[in-house]
Amino acid sequence: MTTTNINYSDLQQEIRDLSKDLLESKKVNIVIGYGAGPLNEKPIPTFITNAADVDRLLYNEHCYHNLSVYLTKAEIRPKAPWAIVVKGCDARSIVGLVVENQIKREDVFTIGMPCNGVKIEGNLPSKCVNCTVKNPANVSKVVSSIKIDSSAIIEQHPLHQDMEMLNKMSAEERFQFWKNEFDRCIRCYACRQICPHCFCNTCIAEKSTPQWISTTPGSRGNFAWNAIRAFHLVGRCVECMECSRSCPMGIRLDLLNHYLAEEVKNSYNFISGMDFEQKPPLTTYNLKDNQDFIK
Amino acid sequence: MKNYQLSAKDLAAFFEKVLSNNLRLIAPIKVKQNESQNVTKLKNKAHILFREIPSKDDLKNIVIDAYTDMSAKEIFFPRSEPVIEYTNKKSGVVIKDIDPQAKETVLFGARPCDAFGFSLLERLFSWDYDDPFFLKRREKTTVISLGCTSPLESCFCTSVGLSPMNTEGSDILFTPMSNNNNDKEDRYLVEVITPRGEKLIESIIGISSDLKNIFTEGNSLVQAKAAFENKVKEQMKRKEDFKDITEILKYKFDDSQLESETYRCLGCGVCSMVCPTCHCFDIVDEGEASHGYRMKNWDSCSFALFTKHGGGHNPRDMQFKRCRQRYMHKLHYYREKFADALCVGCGRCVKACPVNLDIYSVVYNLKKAYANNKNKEDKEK
Repeated sequence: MTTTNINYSDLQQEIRDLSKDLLESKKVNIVIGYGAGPLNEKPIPTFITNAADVDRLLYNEHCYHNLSVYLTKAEIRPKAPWAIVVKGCDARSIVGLVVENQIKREDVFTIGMPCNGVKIEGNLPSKCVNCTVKNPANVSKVVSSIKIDSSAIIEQHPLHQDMEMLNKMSAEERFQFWKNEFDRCIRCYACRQICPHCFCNTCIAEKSTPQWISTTPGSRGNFAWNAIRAFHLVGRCVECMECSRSCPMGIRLDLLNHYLAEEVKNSYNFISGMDFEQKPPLTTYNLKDNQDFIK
Repeated sequence: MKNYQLSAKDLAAFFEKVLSNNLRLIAPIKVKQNESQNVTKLKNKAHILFREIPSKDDLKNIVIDAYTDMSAKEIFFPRSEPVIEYTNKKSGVVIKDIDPQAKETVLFGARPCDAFGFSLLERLFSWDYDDPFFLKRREKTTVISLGCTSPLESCFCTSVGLSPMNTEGSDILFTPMSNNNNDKEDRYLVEVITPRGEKLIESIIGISSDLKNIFTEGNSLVQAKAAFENKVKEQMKRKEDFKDITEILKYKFDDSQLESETYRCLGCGVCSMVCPTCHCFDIVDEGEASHGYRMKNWDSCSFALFTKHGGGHNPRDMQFKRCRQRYMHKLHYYREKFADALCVGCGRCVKACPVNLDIYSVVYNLKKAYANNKNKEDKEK
């Protein structure tokens, strides 16, 4: 049955039952899911290792975190095999981590949630508007038999007009646009820490012998940091927009990431995180690759 | 010290006078990002930050009825500043001190919690070494705080012994008041708290007969303020007293509860950056071999690099140990040394944390577990 209505308490119960089975049968050592937070409408990432605690897991439309970031953290990595609650968008991150050999596919049991859009502080984020993975793909098990109606694709991506605006700018204007954005950066590195694909043990921003990027919050280092992070994520970012949500200064990382994702789609016909067999185009090569840019 | 009252509609006239006295005015404004043009009108986050108000025409941008995303500590302790300048000449290295560039400033719109935060920072920056950068700027700045009438869900100033309208740390406090309890606030009670505040009021009102007319006698509002303050305190949802947490934390260093409470921390530095009292900084050299600056930049104990030694060893090798340090410093070490906790209950870190880590609920849970344990022990006796 196709629907747009989700009964969250049913989904929540299914997560709990499944988690209990997985922990009791020792198929996994830890379940990474959502639990009640101290504030309303703000669930928190929650880690369950004991089957008796599964009732701490909850699920509702405010479960916006992309939990896959935890799989590569020093505290969680040794606890494999893991089970993890994922929405369709989060599942794309898991695919990305497997494809880039960061985790083994057999180590992760993905509990896929049908999702009709999350709410962040009451608002629908732009990533949910044209979502194509409302019914998650590439997961170990989809919770519940409901199918979300995902036919409601509006013609234009919500960021389309912003992209047009950037395209109309001269190179100088565009430089100024991004400089204005990056000038606000306070170098808290929330974008990096929350990103499932920023998994380097030592970030280039932390290297000091030699230093590649000035760590001083000022426009020179800020531009370098944000530009380098964007380059490192081209074709790998799955547009979960967690960086954009986390940025305390409201830097338009959503637009930056979407712009680059569109470039990759147009140049290589590649959308990241959709296929366990396909490597991100900029991390591999193909003899048939387009070479007409070499002049 | 004196109390005045000022009608809300006359606030702009006061600001104009501040500007025409050649004082630098800093107040909260909505900082424009490159606005989204998107078709679906999805909301972009609004960012309210303390910025300089350069002229009369910019007064309309001042935001009074919202809370700032960053604290006002950056007025005295900027996120980045040079502390020395070096030039490498043939004759040798020349090192020049940097002038802190302290200008006569009026800071308007800090909240009472922020203002108390300044006094906490001052204790640190004037402790074993007088930090001229912080102290000179503080010396030249008159802090006009704005009392809170509608605390947020994340606010907990009463937990750390403050109140939505406390005066400590402010030079002048403006509290929005109404004619009676049911009306909208349309005037301010202006409490002059320090000689610095008095100097500002005197120098501005003293030379202007228009201002004498709008700053009227305010003693009649003082009693109403006390009642209003209690009413606002009542509205606050978070009231757990933080006082005994210092004692409890002494025994919690190796307790697994601190680890489980902070397990989800991702190790970014948002909490420290938005905090009115976090003051750790990193010293780095910026420039070339021939010329450059030594910079003092905000740092955070949440970063893995914060305690990493030159040899590669990191005594705080896991994220929970870094979190533990943040809580221990705020609620235990600082209080032992400087009498108060290094937390003013503004709740900015609570709002900004990407994974909703919440210092209030950590303390709440630690206290609860401690009390339960104690009950159990007492029963066993």
